[in-house]
Amino acid sequence: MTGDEALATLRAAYDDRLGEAKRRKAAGSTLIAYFLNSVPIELIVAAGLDPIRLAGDPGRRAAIADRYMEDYMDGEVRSIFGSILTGAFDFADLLVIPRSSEVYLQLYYFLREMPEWEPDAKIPPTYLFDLLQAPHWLSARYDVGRMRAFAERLAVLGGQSLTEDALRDAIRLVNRLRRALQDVAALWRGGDPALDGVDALKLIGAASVLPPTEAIAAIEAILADPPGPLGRAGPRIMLKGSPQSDPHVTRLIVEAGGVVVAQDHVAGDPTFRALVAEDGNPWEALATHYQRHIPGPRVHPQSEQDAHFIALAKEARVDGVIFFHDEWDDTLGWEYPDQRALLEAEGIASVFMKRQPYFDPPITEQGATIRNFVASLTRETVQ
Amino acid sequence: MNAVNRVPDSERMAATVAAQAYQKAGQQQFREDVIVGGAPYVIADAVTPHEIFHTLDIPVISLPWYSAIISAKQLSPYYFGLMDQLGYHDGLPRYGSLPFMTTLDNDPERAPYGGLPKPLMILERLRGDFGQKIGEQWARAFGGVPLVALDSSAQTALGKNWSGRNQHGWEELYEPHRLDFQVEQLKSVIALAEGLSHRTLDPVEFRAVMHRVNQAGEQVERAKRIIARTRPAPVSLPEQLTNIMAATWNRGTQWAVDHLTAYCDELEARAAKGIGACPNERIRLLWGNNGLWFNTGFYRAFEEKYGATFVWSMYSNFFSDGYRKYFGEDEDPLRALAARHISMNEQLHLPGWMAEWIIEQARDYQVDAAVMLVPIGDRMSSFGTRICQLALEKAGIPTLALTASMVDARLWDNDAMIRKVEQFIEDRVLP
Repeated sequence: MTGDEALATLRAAYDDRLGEAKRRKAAGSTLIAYFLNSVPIELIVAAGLDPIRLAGDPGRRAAIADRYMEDYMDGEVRSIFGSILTGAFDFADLLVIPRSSEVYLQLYYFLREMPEWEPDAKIPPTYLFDLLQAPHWLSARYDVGRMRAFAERLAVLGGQSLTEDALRDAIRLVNRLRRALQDVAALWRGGDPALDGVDALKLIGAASVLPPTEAIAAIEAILADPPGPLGRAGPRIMLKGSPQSDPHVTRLIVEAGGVVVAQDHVAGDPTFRALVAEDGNPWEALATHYQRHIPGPRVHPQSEQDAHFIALAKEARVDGVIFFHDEWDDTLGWEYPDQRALLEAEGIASVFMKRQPYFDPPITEQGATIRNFVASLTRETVQ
Repeated sequence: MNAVNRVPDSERMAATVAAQAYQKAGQQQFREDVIVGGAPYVIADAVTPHEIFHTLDIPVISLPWYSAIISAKQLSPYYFGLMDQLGYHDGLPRYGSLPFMTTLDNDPERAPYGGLPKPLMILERLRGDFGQKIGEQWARAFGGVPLVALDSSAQTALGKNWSGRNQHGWEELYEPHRLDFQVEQLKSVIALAEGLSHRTLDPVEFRAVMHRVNQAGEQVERAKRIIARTRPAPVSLPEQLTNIMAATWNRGTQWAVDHLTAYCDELEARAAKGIGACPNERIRLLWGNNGLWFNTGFYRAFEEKYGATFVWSMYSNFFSDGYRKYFGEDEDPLRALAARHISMNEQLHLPGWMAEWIIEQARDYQVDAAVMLVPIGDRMSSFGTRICQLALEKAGIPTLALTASMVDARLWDNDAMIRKVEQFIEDRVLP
């Protein structure tokens, strides 16, 4: 596989998650579909099952979802809810919903309620993975218990008990994927990027759509046969905030002359920041990883998260940060004043795009804000 | 414009006057002991184990209580303006953030009761995603106090009839693995509170506190039976709130038990004499979801014209249905306390449980229609309202949704809201 072919494979997987899922289902996979970055796919792999991360799509909105779900729910969750009710995710043998965000917990409860209201809806079996993320020993112990309960459910689906050896192998495999992503990130974070922000977002996203072995093969192929530098000289931008479940904002930055060198959200660079410890008790290692070392709205203390944010901004040598928050954000906005102050201390400019709609985004206004910001950075660079 | 209807003292129930006097005395005591005397106190979220601190004789300032006070004193516009100035965007949660803003403002002349001094700890339960974010900044603004963030495990199955299983069948209802975890968290809170305050939690007193909460809840159940069966209702909703909430925030005290007993005695006497809050009562309304704290007079705005009176809100008898947890003398009261707060959010704000309970209350109180507050700026409290509204309508109870902030008076157009409810009454409720 050449680098170009590998990149095409990853782009295709990102662009058509549902097509990719159906392809594998048709090939005989038992598909464990999940949301967000907080479901331990190591357990799914160790059980001999096939993990695939699903996401919302601003282009996929169902009126049936709006009948039951409040407008104030995140657009991504409303999109997912509608997709489930209309059967778009009916290929899943199990839908795993993590409790790492309140709105996803609500999604789980809304789905549990639906058989009474929509008895004909083909809702796949759902499973709540009750991950707690307070930085406490007690929470870690609770998470070990929930991991074991999840493993038992997967064992029923997989027809075999999950062994500790299989779990260790799975941890090593998924760590290999994370290492490959860490290595390939140089292609968008480096001095003269070879991948633009849109491709970076797609590559990161596709790594959790494809089976880990296929994702590793594709990324290693790109590393072995990388594209040439893009030769773009615009300001280096970090996009931060709400998860980007489609590339339209990234594309607007690129079109405005910015070079997107980092994505700091739960669908971006932090997803592969940390590895799971390969020594010691694998259950405790997994629990610690998902409790403390993945990005997410409930992970704290905030000072640790902010330190990672500033470290990424420095590593990627960003000139400016675009804070992009969902229309109904009730969480990230609490971080913003401190994060803005941290950037100011580093001499890094920022712009705040707050309360951005998920469905039917105001592309013209968004583009104007982004163009003005990128232009202001360009002037500073020239001066 | 905002209307705040004050009922003259002469027309209030004796219990209401007593509850207000008790709270006023408590505030004075707080001022003397804590603000002047430097005694320890705790800032705590509503769904946290205040009972531990009541047993330790450490005052608790409840977040929603202080938010409601700020709001009732019409101070919310000022603090929300401050929030904007500091860079917190205007879509962020309003209900829990008002008390935090009084600390950032650091103006004791403006803040209710002279503002909150440095607490022993801030106690949060991580229901939503942002509690720890506010808590961390607030703890820092106080110059560094412990933030105790109780992690919030999730109920995996919502069975039917929670209110019927909740008082005696809580072990099974709330899932043993969750209760195990919550008990361990509570032990940590006790150890920290004892260490910081140099006091010891007396197990005998703690058990007594837990029994008294159940006893107080029994009186709230008694109040429900009186109000539900008596037409016209012998008490207005604002007075219900004053009496029940004063006891809720002081639960576990003998005062709460005695006060609610006296409140029920007075309700019975009023019922016997035919004294009604709305003598021309013709329509009974239910207020769904959180209270409208800056304008409780709104609940009475439809009495004169339509004989329409609100007889229930979730505070009317959540104390009886949600708080009571019975346990035997050979059982651990800490596990019963763990069960108390572990799923309150699900009971009040989740589609299935919320709708089921509210419909049950609507039938018990013989209500004709419901008005459902859909809070803006506090979206967690809005979740489930749409399905709840559908469920109420399916049960034959006409329902109007009012979208408004619970605490931000700036976003409330009183005349427009009154017109909406009047239109609803005329179109869907009047015979």
